[in-house]
Amino acid sequence: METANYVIQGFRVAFLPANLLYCFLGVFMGTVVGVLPGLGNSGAIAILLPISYYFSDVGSLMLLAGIYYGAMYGGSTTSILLNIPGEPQSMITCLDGYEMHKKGRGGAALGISAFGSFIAGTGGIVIVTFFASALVEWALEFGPLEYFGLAMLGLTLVSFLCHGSSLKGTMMALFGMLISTIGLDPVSAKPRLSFGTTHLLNGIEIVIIGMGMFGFCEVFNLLAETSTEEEIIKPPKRLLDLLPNLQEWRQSLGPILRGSFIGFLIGILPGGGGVLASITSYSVEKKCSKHPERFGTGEIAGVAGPESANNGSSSGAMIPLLTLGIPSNVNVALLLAALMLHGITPGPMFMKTRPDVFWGVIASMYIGNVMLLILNLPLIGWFTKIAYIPQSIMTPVIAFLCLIGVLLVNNTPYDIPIMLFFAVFGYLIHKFGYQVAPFILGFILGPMVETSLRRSLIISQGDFSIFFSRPLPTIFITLTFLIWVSPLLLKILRKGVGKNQER
Amino acid sequence: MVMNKKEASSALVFMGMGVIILVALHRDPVGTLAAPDMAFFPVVLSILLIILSLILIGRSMNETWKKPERLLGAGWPKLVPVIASLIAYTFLFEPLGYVLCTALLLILVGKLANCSWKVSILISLICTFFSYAVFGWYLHIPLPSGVLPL
Repeated sequence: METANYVIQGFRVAFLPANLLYCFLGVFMGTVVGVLPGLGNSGAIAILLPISYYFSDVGSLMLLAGIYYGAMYGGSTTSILLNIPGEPQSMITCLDGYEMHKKGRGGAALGISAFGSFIAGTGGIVIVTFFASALVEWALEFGPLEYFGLAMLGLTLVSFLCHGSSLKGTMMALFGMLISTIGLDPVSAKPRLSFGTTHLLNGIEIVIIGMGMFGFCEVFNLLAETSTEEEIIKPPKRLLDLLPNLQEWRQSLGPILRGSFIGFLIGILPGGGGVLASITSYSVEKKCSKHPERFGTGEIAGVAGPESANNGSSSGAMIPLLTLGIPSNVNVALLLAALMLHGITPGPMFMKTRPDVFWGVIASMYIGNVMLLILNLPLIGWFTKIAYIPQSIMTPVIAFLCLIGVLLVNNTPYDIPIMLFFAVFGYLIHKFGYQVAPFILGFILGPMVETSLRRSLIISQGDFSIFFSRPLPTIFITLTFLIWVSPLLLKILRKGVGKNQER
Repeated sequence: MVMNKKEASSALVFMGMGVIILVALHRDPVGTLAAPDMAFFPVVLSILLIILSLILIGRSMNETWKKPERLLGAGWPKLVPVIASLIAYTFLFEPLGYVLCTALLLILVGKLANCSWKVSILISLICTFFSYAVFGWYLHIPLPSGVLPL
């Protein structure tokens, strides 16, 4: 009953005209960003972070969350019609979506992708609505030991799950935590690593880092890759019927439900984002299918599953953010930054202290998903045209948005060299095969790890066995350890199997 | 033994950053395990970063360098003028003003992105004046007008 009252309160907040507008702007921009191959949703959220400071707290979160889940819808459009993934999580949709389009069923692929996204997105929010209160009650019992264990598990998972080397992922997470230590010491409030300048006394803002590593880094990528001749892609002449036929619906229902479930679970997992969700769902569908050989030739299950999964993951990711204040991926980390900009600390107390924001955002996600379904069906042709905006025009526009964004944070041009440092750093690490996600999560979780570690050590007088004195931290730290030793264990196991086979 | 230069050079950069942070923290108190002080956490992180960088360097020595490739890709020289102009932007922001500095920077970025002069100037003027109108005039955020009589 209490939940029902909260949900009603949330809808009251979400239906306020200004908030409806924020929600619409968010999902609209999300769809545009999803369609644009250059700019990612993290880049768009990072660019809009400082501007969102001028909006109300609930409004800005509705807008930024709208971009996050809206981009999941938009990304599929260009994957299906142009074979260009607007977002990394839509890469897998190209395999069967574009093949369907070539066979004249592009409309059905777009339709099933939009419906699947809607079912997964809304279904995920229903689960968040009913489980959030229970999870918050459970999370209220979390102390420094639990937070330390959970943060360590999260960082380890992020470092191991992101593609590429787990060693490099861990180095990025460590470096992110190191950067988070710049500024005042959280315990003694003495300046630390400020390198003699007053500009670093308050630490480095996540907004400036995000603007550098996602926004301006994109400018660098576009400049370095600009070809002298613009690539001209011909738009599809006519979009056939967008509604899938009965047989296509029958073939898609299972993949949509499985994809929604897989996506939601992966979304909760630290390090699990839309990319992992869509790839996992595609593999599951291929394994479940009676005709796995048809995948890659225009199988509708190869569109329905992954597209539902990446939307399910965006709903699932809201659970650790809203209940524990722990982001599970980069986009959610930027949403956390938006909350912190407005002086709100997400965590177990967030639902109790600011129910209007908590339930308002959840309610706005229901409305946003309906808006996205309406936007993504009749306006697909219009959105596709956005993909034809030349990169030469996009580049100075993104550069401008980053500049004005950084200037608005502290109203000083001295934040620009910091943004530049992170833009160059972001560009270089990409070239050297490192991932950004562990760095951002390390930066966000760094203060929590430090405070909980130091508190625990002070309480235990330097005895590390304190981390095994309660069940949850024991589970988290044991899992972290198992993940760390898993490559070694697998190697030993493989060697053992090899020797047995030789005998 | 052949070394993967890409891996090794990136590891060296991280190791260098770890060392710089350790040097910067040499005067700050680390404390003890029972009473960790302000430098405790960053020192532990720096040491771990240096150890992992060394492991990466060790790993890169066992790898074969398949084909010589450019570490930064072909288009990186285009980034040099942008980096230089962003540094200049920081110092010229107050004397020249927001509008002039931003417009000049955007024209440069536009040209480097293969826009024509006409399009570059048009984009920079629209972005700059629109933002000055919204943030400077409407929201009263103090953006320096510099040499222009705005």
